[in-house]
Amino acid sequence: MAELESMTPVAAIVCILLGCTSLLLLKRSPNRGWIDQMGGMMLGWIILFTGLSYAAKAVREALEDSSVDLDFFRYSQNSFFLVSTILGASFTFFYPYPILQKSSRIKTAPYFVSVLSLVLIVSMLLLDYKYIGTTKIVYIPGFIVLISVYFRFLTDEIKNGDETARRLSFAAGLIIIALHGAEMTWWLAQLISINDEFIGRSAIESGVSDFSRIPTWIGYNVMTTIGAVATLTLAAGETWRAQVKGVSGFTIITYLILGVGLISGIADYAVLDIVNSCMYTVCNEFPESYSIWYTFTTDALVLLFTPLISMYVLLNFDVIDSGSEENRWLTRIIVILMLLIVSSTMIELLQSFLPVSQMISSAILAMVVAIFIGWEERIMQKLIEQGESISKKLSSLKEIHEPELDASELESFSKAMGALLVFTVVLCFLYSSIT
Amino acid sequence: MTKDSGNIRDVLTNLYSNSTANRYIAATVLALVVVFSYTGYDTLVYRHDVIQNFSEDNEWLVTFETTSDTMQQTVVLQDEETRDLTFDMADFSVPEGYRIGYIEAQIAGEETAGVLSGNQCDSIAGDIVRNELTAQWDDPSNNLSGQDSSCIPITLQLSIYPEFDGEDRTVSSINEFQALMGWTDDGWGKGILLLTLELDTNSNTPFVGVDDDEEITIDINVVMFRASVEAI
Repeated sequence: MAELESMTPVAAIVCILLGCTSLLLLKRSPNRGWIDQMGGMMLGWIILFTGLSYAAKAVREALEDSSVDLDFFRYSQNSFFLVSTILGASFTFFYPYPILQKSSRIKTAPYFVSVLSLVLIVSMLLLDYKYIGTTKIVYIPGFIVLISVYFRFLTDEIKNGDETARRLSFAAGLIIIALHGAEMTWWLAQLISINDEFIGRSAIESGVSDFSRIPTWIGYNVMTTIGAVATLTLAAGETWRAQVKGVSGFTIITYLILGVGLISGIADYAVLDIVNSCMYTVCNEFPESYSIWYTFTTDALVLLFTPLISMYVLLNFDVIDSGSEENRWLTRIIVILMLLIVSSTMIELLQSFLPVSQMISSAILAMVVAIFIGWEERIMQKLIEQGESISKKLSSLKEIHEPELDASELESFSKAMGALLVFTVVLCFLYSSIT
Repeated sequence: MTKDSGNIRDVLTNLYSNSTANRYIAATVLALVVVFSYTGYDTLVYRHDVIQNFSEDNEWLVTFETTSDTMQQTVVLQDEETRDLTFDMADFSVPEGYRIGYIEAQIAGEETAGVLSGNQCDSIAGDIVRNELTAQWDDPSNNLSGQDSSCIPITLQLSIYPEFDGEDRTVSSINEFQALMGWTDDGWGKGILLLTLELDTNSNTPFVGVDDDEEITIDINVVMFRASVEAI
């Protein structure tokens, strides 16, 4: 069997492409409400910083056996990851249900994100990223906000018959999956408390003394706990909704994650002897089938499907004005491009372990291209037609404050993030030069 | 107070305005706390302690329990004769869990052996010949050739197991298994031990008959070991 290739370079391309395009499309969508402007900008920058982090990781993976000094890429990967973490945690306070609505607080957001990111980038750089896992605790408040939005509007829909409330619970659910997708697929392993054994193995494999710090372990445990609880609560919520309203696409996605987590948990339990071999004997390799399973589930969800979910949020919730003639062609290009990149990557991955000849995989890819071209109009039409901004729903509930903000004040967020990006690159370059 | 004032208190009041939803939210937060508590104990207390044991390589004392098996062969060589002797290592009895550490060969002539012949000491030479036997052929502690004409037995030695000298030693590793790893390899000491003997008699002693042969006794002693470790 051929070795499974890393999906990181593809994820980097997809994220950078989507991040740049969404920021560009947002700039061309001047008539959006402030929630969409703010949420869209934040989401765009999260995707872009994540893409840059993946790009640095991909370079490291490609050159790890060479004699090239990769410190710059290590610093960049971790620094961009830190910025995307802070942005991801802050995003939940603005979208889909903005907790911070006053203009003064909205104006403070870019400064808050920039300063906190800088503090973390510099401190983690100086501490050689020994405590980088700790930063994951910043997701706790955001998760509570998202799950609150989910249940509030799910209950409104089911108990009070408010059909439009689904839009918000759906958005909150999708964002939970986008932020915590990987950990959600480990829900059973976390519930039966075997994730710690995997953390232990990683600690030994990566050099114990740099890994076994309590704050880092707290961070990892917070994330895996959030993932487990997120899967179960979303599954419970969707089951309730399915009984009353019927099965929806989101119900299927939630059950898929639940099923993947169930199988993964059983597989994790089955390989515990291998996991613990590091402690009591020597680190044995995982079976090939186990690695393939994780490549096609957790890795694919994080690296390939999370950007697609983000794109769906941008289009389906009308964050960007995809209906205008000016934006339409660019939106179409990016949708088709992303779907094709993800499909072709999955086909390539399948080909690497299934005995399928290149002729057949090329034919399958051609079929996928044909389907996307044929259905392009339909896919786009559906996305645009269904697209309705969540700010309309919040306005109808009179739960949204309309602060006095002009476009330039909102755009200061993008300027701050751009400056942060340049500063991070320069800092990483300088630090790698002097160490 | 208006619902859309934008104050955080009002926003949170709006968000948590549905009592049914609040119950589910509270249950979710409770689940977070419960799951974090017991998995946190596993991760942050139990597992962390286990891992801390590996935070630095531990020191281990490796000791060796040894035993040996001997085989003897006697041959009579004529003056200026050279003879090859072979010993199949499979004929030696290696107890379960033991590995061959080294081989000693002692070569003694009949004068050496104490038999009164009245002759001068004969010149005996012995070599362990390098062949396919799996051993440390280039180990500096080896003594593969010997020659004697003063009635003293010749002692030859061939190191079999890498770095084994029978002495206790201290090693650093993260666990007992890895500390022992260097001492549990199979495959050393397989093959045929080939010994070459050569005799040159001294027969010019007056009043004693002509001495043109020699009875030579070869003792092959195979030293075996079993390693055990204890934390220091």
